[in-house]
Amino acid sequence: MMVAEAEHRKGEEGALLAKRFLESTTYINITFSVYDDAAQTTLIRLDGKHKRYDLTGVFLGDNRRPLFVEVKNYNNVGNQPADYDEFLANAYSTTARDMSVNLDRSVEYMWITRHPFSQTKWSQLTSDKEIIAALDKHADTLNGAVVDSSIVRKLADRLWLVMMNSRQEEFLLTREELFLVHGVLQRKGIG
Amino acid sequence: MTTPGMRSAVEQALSHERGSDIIEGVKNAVAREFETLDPAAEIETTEYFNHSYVPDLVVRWNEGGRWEERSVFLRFTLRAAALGGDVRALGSTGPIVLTLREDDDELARQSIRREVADSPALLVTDVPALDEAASVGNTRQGSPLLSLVRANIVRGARGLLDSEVVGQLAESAAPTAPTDDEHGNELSLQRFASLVEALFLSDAATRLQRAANLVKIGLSEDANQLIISEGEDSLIGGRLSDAELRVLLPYLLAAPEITESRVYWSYIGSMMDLDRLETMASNLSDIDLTPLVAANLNSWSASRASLTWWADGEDTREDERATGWRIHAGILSLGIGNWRLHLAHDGRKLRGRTDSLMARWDDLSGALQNFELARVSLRGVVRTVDVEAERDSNVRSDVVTIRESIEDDFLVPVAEVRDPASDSAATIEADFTKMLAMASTRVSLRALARVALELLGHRYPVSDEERGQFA
Repeated sequence: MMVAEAEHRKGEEGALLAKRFLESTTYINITFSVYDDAAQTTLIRLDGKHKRYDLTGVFLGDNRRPLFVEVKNYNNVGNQPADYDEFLANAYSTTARDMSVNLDRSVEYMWITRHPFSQTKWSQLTSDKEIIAALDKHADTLNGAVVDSSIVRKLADRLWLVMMNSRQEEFLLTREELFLVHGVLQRKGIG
Repeated sequence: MTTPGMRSAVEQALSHERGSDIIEGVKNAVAREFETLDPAAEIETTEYFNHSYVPDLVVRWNEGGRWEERSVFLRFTLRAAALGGDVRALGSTGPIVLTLREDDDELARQSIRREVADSPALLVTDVPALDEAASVGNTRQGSPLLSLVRANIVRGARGLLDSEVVGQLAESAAPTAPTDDEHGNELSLQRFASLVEALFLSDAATRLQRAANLVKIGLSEDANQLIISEGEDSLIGGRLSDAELRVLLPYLLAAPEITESRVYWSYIGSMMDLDRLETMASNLSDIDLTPLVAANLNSWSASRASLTWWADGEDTREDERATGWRIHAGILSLGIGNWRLHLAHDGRKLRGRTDSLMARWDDLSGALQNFELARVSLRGVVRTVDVEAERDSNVRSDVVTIRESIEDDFLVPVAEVRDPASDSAATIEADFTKMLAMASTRVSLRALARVALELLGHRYPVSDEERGQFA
């Protein structure tokens, strides 16, 4: 198998594990992965460029809103500090772009990783301050717009930073068990 | 063989811009395909899509009074199903994993093929394969085995069913007339039997193998001999499923190359009854049921018969006077002499008339000699006399005595008889005003038909030849 193909499979495998992990919470239905339909996992930035995520889905229940997920299958810190800054800047840009066309769908953004990074400021990684700092580093994502603190505030509340162990699946209920729980909860689906 | 069907509908749905449109379009296309494959099943779409443990659709069906269901999980590719571990994780509940896009990931195919061997109730299939299966003609002229395969996929297929496998099934399930190539047929049907054993759950495989066997014997020139020589060991008995009745029976009855052997049709009849024939009446319109019904006049039972004079109603058109046993207005019917005889398992389906004349005792008494008379009501101008036996015995001699001692012209509204040719103690009431024969408990078609034709129809008896079939 070619190296690129092997990496591709590994990436899809990691995305599917993250999907199962998120759906096992019973709060989320991941409807598309980038491997299924790339267009569905893509958002548009202020500068018109496209930002592609690994997964997209919907938070279930009464407060339904879209979710876009970046999955990092790293076993080390790797390039995560820099990539995460880009993730924050992109999230601001796509949110601001939605608002600029009066189409705020309350999209939430999730970063799932198997290895922690930027541990000295881990608890601050979803704060307003980090978003503004990330935008400083990636000003191109603003396409000349001024940073709007109200959008920054909203975005901070819509960010998720999640640690997932590579052996996470061993802690999950089986799908048969989860389906039983699902039957009891009767949580409203995506409709 | 491929038709655009689900494949193009799914492709069109996947080209939508909005995710919700994709989901709705895909689910509708899949639901329609399942309805085509299994028209009797109910398809429910859920509020989830491509979810790891909540199915996208649930198929429910009633088989012999029992509700069953099978979940359907949609995945984009075989590779997603393989990398997502779907076969191992979902295998125990025996669902269908349906992939929407074709992919050429041979590693994924090999992995799925290995895994399905350990999950014997689960089916992995794809849109092109189901499309090809659905395009198999469901006509009386087409192969009934292909139609049955199609009808059994949703409920009973297992393993990895791709286009190649569907092609193999189609090839092996197309029997021809014996004069064409009997040896070739035999080999094809053997191949068919081994394929269905591998590809269908036990019950479905058994049903399909039985169907193949019935077709094989039906096409054979010595069907009698095959039924007798193969005996219980290789002939699978039991009850024909609803799908078999719907698909196989019309084919066997309509195909001119199928034997008319009484032994063969009696064997088919042993796997069903009149009740089930009535439930599938709409599938049997325009088909001559004579081989099946004639072979089972003694073994099938009914509760009520009616007799109608051809000239009585609207049934006088030539095309409605087709000969032989047929379904008429949802009820088993036979045009015989100038009468139309109806036989019903459920008596409520035959209400009869309200204005027929009572029989004259003097006209009826001759016909009654062939029956044991259990009860009769005699209405004269001067007297009305009810004669009834305390126990099982023939009261005819009592009536003869009464008739000789009272000078009157007696009319008979109702006579209750037993069929001396039957072991049953059941009585059959012949109501001349309604032209109905009603059994106290279900009796053979032959017994009811005799009472209807010989007593209700005593004024215009059918010929000896016509009556012979009920002797």
